[in-house]
Amino acid sequence: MNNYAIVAEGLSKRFGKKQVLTDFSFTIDAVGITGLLGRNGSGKTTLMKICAGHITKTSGELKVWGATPLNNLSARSRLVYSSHDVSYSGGLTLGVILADYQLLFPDFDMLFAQKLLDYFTINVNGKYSKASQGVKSLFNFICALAARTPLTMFDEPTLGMDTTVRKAVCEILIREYNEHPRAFVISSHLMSEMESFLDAVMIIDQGNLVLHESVDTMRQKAYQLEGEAEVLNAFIAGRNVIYRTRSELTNLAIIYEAACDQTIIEACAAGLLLKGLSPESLYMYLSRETKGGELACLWETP
Amino acid sequence: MRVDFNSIKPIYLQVAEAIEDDIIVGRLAEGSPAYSQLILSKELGINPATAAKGINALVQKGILVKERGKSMMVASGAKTTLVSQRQKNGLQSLVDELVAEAQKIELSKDDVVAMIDRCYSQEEKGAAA
Repeated sequence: MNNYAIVAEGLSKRFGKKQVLTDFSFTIDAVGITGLLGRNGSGKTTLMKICAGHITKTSGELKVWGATPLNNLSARSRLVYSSHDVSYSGGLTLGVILADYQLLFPDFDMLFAQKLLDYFTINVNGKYSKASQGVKSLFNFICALAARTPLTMFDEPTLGMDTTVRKAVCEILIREYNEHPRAFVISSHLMSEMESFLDAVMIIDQGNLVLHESVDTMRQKAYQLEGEAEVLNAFIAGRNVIYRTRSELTNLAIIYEAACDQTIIEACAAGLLLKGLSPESLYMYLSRETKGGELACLWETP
Repeated sequence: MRVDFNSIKPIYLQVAEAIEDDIIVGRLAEGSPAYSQLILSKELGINPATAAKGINALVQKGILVKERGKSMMVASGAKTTLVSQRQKNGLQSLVDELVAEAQKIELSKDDVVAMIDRCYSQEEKGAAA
């Protein structure tokens, strides 16, 4: 029955007059790792918080493990939402917070959590509020991972972590997923470190779900072409071009449609350079519009 | 074994080809166990489903076989099959690239052939020494 961790149908959210999420329809598989990509303020956190039952939706349908997550304790024990900006009141120590996790989540693995804390030499007697951002992020990551809930949502899990710790976190995540497969949803601005193990990618831009695809499919569809302007223009005519740029040195086009072997052969024969695109680059090209346009205008005198 | 995440080639195919490479150079012997899904996932940092897809591609080609109660094994005759396959198709794209580059810098066919000859004779000298 529960083939899906999340099923959303026409899900929308408004904060006052501001439309934050517009008409989201998607499903998240019961087992798999989904990467959530979008620029700051695009709606990633809002989407995860609604799925976690922390805030209300404005309209549409949302089921998490077949139930409405809002004000639903049994649904809430089957998911965890972990954010980099959690704050705990007063002078709570990490040990006390861990004990709370154990109470809230029936499958919380205290031994696993303690091993992870030891691995990163984090002292459980320290106060959460006194910890650095990197340690806070790491601690929240450890708690959410050890909760072993069927759905785990990480919002910017690696914020403030140094490179070594981020690498270790990615490795721990993939190993944990091998040992205990379940549904993960992860948002990150450093997706390049995680995209190697994603199953699916969701790209959000300005409150719209612009792309939701398996990474395999995405990789087959998204590619970039580089070459002489005329050759490139002739080649991309009639194709689904999502981005096109020309500068003194490069002529670049980003295409989103299935590239069959024939396309690749034709592109090479025409002298065009064809490259694959990572989920992060695709997201960048899909949500590239900025207010200002070309950067050069910043240094122009009016 | 390495995976290029910027390549247009699907990750699972890259995994399959990397396993093939290890069979060809003899790192994986015929009749011995092949890399498991778990090892590939952990070591390459890839999704276990992708690793499984790469393994399955080789099972379909008859390069790997599932033996009852055991892990995936390298099929007998796998190396010969792969070598003859690579001899047929493997070098073509490299040769295409070589010829295209040679034409770009206006090297004649004879020049290119001479370079290849030189390369072979150097190797023979190296082997004799």
